Amino acid sequence: MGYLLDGLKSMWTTALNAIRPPFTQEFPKVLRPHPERYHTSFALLHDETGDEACTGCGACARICPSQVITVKLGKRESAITQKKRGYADDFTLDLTACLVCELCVQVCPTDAIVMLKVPELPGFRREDLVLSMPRLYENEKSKPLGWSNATKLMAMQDPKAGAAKPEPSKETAPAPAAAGAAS
Amino acid sequence: MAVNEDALAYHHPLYDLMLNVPGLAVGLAPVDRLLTWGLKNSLWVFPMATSCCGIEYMAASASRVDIDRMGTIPRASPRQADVMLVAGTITVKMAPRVKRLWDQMPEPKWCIAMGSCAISGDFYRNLYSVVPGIDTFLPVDVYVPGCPPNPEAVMHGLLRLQEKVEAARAGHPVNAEPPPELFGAISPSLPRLTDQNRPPELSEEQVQASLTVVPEGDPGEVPVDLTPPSIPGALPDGVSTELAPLLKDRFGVAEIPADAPPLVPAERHVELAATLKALGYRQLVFVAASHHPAKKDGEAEAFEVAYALRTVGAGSKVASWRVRVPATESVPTLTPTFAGADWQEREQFDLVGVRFSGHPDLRRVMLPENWEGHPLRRDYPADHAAAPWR
Amino acid sequence: MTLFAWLSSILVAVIVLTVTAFGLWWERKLAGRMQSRLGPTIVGPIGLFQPIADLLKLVQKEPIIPQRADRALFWLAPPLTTLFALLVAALVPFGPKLAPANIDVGVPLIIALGGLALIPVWMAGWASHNKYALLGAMRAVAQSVSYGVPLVLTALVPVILAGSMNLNSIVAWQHRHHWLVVWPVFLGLPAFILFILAMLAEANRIPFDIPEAESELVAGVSTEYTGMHFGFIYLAEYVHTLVGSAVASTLFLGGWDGPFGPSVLWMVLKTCLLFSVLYWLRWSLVRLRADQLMALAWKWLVPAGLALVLLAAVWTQTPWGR
Repeated sequence: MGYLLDGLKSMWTTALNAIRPPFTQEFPKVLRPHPERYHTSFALLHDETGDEACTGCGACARICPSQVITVKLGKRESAITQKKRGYADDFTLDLTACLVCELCVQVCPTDAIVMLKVPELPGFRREDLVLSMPRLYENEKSKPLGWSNATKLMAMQDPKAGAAKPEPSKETAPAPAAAGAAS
Repeated sequence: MAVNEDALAYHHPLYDLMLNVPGLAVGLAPVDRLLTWGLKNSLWVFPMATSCCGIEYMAASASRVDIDRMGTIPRASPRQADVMLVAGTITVKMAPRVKRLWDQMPEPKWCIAMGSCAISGDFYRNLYSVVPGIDTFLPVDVYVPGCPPNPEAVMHGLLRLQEKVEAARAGHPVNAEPPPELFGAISPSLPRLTDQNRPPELSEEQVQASLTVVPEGDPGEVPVDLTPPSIPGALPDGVSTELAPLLKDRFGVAEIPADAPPLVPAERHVELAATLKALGYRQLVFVAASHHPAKKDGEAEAFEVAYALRTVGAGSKVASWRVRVPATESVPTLTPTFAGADWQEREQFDLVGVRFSGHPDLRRVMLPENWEGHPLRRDYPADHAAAPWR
Repeated sequence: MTLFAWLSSILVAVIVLTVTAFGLWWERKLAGRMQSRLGPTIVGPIGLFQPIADLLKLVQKEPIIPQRADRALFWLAPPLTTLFALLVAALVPFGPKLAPANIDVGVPLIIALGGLALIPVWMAGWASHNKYALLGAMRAVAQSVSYGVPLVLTALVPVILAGSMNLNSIVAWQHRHHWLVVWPVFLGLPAFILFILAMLAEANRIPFDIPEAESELVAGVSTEYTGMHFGFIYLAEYVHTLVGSAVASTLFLGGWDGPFGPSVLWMVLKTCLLFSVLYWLRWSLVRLRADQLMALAWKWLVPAGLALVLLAAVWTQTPWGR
């Protein structure tokens, strides 16, 4: 008897669902709006003078829990400010073992590494998922950047200032890179 | 070079006929296109979901993303599936099962590695028990990055697989060019399936030779003095104060360290356990072994095994002690006194390699039977090359 | 056998298989909507070509025979399941003159053919040399034998009331008088519901699908089958349901009888409607346990069926039912 009543109840539920509009958001065509703090992939930034922001200090490589960041430190004279400073001669972030924990962003002293709002494409080889330095700088130009950088994340942890809120950004619209890739 | 040779190995008889009869291939090109269209639009998934990525796969099948839109349904039997979706960490013990299920799938078949653990082992990749990426034993077609990837990424991976299926049939496989040498890329501690220098698989004899466990003799009756000494209870944190006077009076232990369990001679620790059991310490809490390699100052290689007992009920007291033996000798088992010591000692044998003399069934309990070595020893190589799943 | 009978049989088989293929699509769409999803949309317009893609895929898959399987039985069983399910379709009348095989023992023959469909299922389970397949086949046989009894009893109700075992005559009687579910309602409606339940159990559909319970038996009888062999078993299940709905609408819903228009239209309409209702049941209900299943058959459906047969016999002797 209980089965009969429950059965009728679930039949009522499914019948209601069948006449309601479905929840499905058709993925390749429509992209679900992600929260402000959504972050998946990485980019390296240039600073306000147009120079590479990364000084090659390797703080991100040391804090990374799964050790996916490799930095080669180099020292040379900046082409823009004519001052001698540190540079990353080579920089690799291997997405194949990344935890997406954002610790590298948090410790960066120059706000050089940030995260993106769009994921990397699924690859056909492991090497397709390795973010080399040219790819990271390419990501800065071509893909929407996430909210966080080191300054904002550290400010969030300041007890006096209180938690910083991610300001609502304009571009919750579908990211062009992911939409193009899915086609 | 990285062409998936396995996926091209099987040909349907109809397909072979098309290729071998001259002229037929040209005439039947539209048919081939139609067949490819069918193949790529009906990818039935065998979800090999072992951990959190499996939840995201389920979300991908559910209402929001709904991979059924592209004709993907889950099949419980590998015989009817086209795609194996490996979602989650694959341990060394799981890997042979995954391989077997993969072998049971009919050609043509594909494999998707979903999430960091399946792709590379993530930050468990140097752990003794985790496979550093499933491409060390399966031919992976699509790698979906993320930890875990979101449901849309699962569908994206399937869409990429469709691209690959179509490209492979058209004669230009997508990953034909050799992988570039990349600075800083993680290379798995084991050769991948696509690597040229991959060693041949282990023979059955090699596997059997690694199983060299022989249980030793029976310890016989242990003489036990059951007169309960009149000792007060325990410290506020539950550590027993009864143990120290007991050890001093009856077991001749002079040194009772303040910050570690006292060392008890190995030949008398069974008697100690029985005495404590008579005093009301009826539960064996843990057996934990550690390995101490030989030092430069002449200290020999040794094992230390720590035991802890507790009383049952309210106001529980804990008593613990250590036993230290040279690496060549064995520790008398506690199994006759505490039945619960059986599996715990087996575990310590399995992971550290301590022998327990008189243990009734000293086999491996956690690692596969054919495992070589004991992974929690200090001298165990982290990237052990003789992993048995290959 | 006349040429007309041959041609119409082939035509019916082709039509039933085509309708079944799109029944697959319809089920997936329906299931999707019931779960607030969309169902197939990408392959073809509104996903309509999905069954075709599935078929083309299944044809191309490698046929695997387990090493210790019984080869002959293993090969033979899947086509036989579809064949026996299709045989029933030849007996169903689609109009006053549109019955491929209009024979006088239609009702018993349908039930006999339904029982015959068990044999390939058992063959498949035995030949696979797989414990899950064997367990699934054993469950299927036990279940079908049990539910065969109420199936026969409830099918007897229209036979007694119409006074004929010829399906066309039963429909003609309903055409002259009234549909059986409408009057006598206390006989027709319970008999119809019982028939549907027993038919679902015979076809091994949810809520009576313990022979292929995924959580226990991987995929039941079809565990070891790949490619088109699996396709046949898969198809047989749907053909069975479709033909079962056709038989149920013939016996209880007046078959080809309708107030206007061609008779075929009414028959197809009723069958498709019943087919959809069965899928509504399938995607709403949960699976019964094996003991609950047997209790339902022997403690409830068989006594109820016997009572209905008795009542029908009495009813025919009353002045209203004469």
